[in-house]
Amino acid sequence: MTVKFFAYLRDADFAGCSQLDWPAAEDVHQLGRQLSDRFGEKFRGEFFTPDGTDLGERIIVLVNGRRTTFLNGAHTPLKEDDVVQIFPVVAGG
Amino acid sequence: MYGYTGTILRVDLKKGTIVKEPLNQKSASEFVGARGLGTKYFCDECDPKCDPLGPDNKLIMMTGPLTGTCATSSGRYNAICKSPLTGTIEASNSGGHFGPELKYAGYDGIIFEDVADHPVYLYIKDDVVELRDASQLWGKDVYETTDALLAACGPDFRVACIAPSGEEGCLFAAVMNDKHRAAGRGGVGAVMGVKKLKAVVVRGTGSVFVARPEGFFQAATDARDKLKAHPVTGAGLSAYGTEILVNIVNGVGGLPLNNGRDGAVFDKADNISGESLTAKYLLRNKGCFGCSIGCGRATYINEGPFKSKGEGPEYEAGWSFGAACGVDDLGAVCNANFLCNQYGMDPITMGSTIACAMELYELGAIPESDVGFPLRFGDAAAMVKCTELTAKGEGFGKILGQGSFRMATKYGHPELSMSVKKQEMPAYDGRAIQGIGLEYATSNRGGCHVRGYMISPEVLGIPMQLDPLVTEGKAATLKLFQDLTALVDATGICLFTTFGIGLPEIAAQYREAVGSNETDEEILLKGERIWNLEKMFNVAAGVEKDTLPPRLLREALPEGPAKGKVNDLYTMLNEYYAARGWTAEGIPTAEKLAALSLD
Repeated sequence: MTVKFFAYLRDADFAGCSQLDWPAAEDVHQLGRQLSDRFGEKFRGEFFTPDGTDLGERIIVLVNGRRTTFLNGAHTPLKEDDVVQIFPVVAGG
Repeated sequence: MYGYTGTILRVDLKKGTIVKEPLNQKSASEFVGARGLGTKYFCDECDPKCDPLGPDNKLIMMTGPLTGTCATSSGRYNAICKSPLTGTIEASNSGGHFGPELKYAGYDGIIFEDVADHPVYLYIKDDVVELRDASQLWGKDVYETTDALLAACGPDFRVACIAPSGEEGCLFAAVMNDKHRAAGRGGVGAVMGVKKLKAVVVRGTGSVFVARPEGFFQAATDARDKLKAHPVTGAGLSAYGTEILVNIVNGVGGLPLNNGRDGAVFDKADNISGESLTAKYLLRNKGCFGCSIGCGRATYINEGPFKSKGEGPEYEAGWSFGAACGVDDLGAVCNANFLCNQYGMDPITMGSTIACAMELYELGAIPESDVGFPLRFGDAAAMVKCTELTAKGEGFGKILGQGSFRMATKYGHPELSMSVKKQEMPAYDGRAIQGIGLEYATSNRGGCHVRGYMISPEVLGIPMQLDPLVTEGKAATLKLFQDLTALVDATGICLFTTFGIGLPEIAAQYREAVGSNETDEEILLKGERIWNLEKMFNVAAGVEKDTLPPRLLREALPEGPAKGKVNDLYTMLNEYYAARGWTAEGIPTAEKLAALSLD
């Protein structure tokens, strides 16, 4: 699958890149754990709530353009050809 | 009278008279200030059927009770008139420092009447208020005009002015203040130009007094602390500006591409994103008066064909000159935006009108002989050239300067104007984001995103998350957001504060400033009153019904997460009118008007 990062999540102390080809993950929660293992605790702190059970409030995850809130949340299943976009909370207009 | 100076300037441009009159306190209490109070004055004094470019249209500059106070982001004022672009009521909102300076000089607002017989500018230094000859300034752009007036009057003055676009009748000419801040939408600059009013310069050395200083300082500090603690208003907007929205709006499939003809997913969106702007061209961020957010951008294109320097772009302009035109050259996008600042034009309407022209050209409806050069989607140089021509009122620019609806009508395809009530919709596709479509359709000033900002719940999840693809719940939410937005605009603080604070914090600052004991709900009701007043003006003016361009209603999106979707407007519209307590035709009822003391 393809994983894309935006805003400060591209910085070196988070993902350090804008896009990755990622081998596989069962769902968004597992993907978050895998990415956190690779990028470290600062990334984990953004991605998850403090108890690690759900997605953090400072992050927006889109799976194929749909926010996980409107799918199955952290347990949204992932497939090989999915595109996952990970944003910090942003605004503007 | 606390929060207000208590004085309005009334300037008859034909007679050359200036009268200082007491502020209408009842109106101020009912309509708050800025957008609300200015609209109340306007509706009391102007015939809704008046010619927007005739002598009977007035131009009102109005501040709010929080403008110029220590409330955060309190640099706003509104320019109110009947719009020459839409024929609706217009309240165009600007930041910077001009509004606070006007209050420090001792005035809540200025009402300009009639038309001068030669170019003039209004000079204000505290009690000294004079109309002065501006013949030597006529024809000068925003930067030249501002520099000349600062040289003549003093470096501490604040300047709001028009450029040749406003003088020559560009229907989306802006009133520019502090060089880079714009009362941008609806053609308020064209109204100022017809009046031969080149500029207003102001310097004030007074103060704004609040009713309960200790309580006000606490309320303002509480609001500021919350804004600083919020990830958007405390960090994100200052770091990346509003252009940070490009990728997420594109991500949900809502970034209109090529005038919306080719859907709403742009595969080159990242090239025009806030991330790219920050990495390539950002010099520093900038804030308006008293702002802790600082979303403004000072930017510099240091090489290449679009080498230039200025401010912005913000998100809407980034889209209009970018994805709307199929352009991914960020330097060109910045350059076009700089031109809009320098020559006083609304970049949303400018870019969207160019996009419409590109579609008409590719369709064969506009001959190349009319344009003077090929005008295809993706041609960055042609996009910038169109902006230059419009800025200077030359060649094809004269046609572009009438906006997309009049241009598309001239070439036989009005349906290709991506506008509502003849004003171009901003940077979100109503097919992918249902509620923003309803917002565009019902906006009292035509296509507009800041008359409710449904993107906040539908895309950003602030303050709650609503599914952008469904219609349920959108009508009631939009009604609430519209009323709150009207209130925020009327107070004189920036709408962006609502990403971090809400009605309780805004109402608290208002109460302490003016000495009110009203509840939050009673204060929010003033926003609903403003909305209904604007609507009644439009009804009396004979403005067309609430709808969307046929493309959004009939042409399904070809790809992306909203593939197959159109905007389901009429389902939402019925619910919306019911939520508003209006008739099924969208007219405020006598009962509703009575409940709002508008009868």
